[in-house]
Amino acid sequence: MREVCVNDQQSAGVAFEIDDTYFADVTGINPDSTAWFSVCERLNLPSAERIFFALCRSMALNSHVFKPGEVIAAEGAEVHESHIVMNGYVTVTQASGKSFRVGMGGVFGLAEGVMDLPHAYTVTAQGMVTTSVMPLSRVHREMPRIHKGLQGIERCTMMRIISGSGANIVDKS
Amino acid sequence: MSGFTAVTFKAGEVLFAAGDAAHELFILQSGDIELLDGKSGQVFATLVAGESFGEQAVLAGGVRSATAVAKGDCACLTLTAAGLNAILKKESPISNLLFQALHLQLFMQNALSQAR
Repeated sequence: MREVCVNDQQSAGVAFEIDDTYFADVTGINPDSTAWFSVCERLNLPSAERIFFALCRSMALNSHVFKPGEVIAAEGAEVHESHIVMNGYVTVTQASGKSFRVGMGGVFGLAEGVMDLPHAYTVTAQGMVTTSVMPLSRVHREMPRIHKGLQGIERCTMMRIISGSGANIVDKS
Repeated sequence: MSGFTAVTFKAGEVLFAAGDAAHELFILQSGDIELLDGKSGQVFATLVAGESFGEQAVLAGGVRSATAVAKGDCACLTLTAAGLNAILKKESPISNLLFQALHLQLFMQNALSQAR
């Protein structure tokens, strides 16, 4: 994972993206296997890369392609679907004026959507961008059936995401 | 809750240290836990009852990036990495995706917060 401070919308710096250098090394390996763990350890993969690669291996989601300049999410708007950036770069902005460039692995609208909150950011495709779409309607249907312990962990994770986003939103759940 | 184990810690007790292999995650039931930066040793967060912690390293099979110390006497539920995997295996594919994607979103949000 590469992290660079970005304050200029035109800057080439990237605030967050997955380093896919070693993606091919884990392709074809079951994320639940000891072989997966061994390869991740040998490559010394950071946690975000491990989670993203595992996510890709288990992912059976629809993809969506956005053209340059197309708005993927609008700050304050109702969340209809969540996007995971699989290819390309997006500009992430807030009304506060903060602007970031985010690449592969960026996730938008998930915590907000699950908690019935509006989008925390405006997300715009910088070039051609491919995302995987998380079906929130299915997530909402599944939530009551999820293990209670996992639900607690997920709720805690979502609160940290929402709190960190600095968005002016209130938990309605 | 099945798979979870109740544990208690005395004030000042170290739950885990930065650099340790991550074997379990925690859900704090009572008391406060301080998280210390692995490099500076400074407290960067104080967790209260109801919060979970340590799950990112467990999910990714990595090492602790912070040190956790009991501020006072604490009670926690712990879940081992194997226990978490066992639970996730029983969950639907969409539940697994949700769990992983939320933690990926948290990684992104932390990076954005640092870049502000």
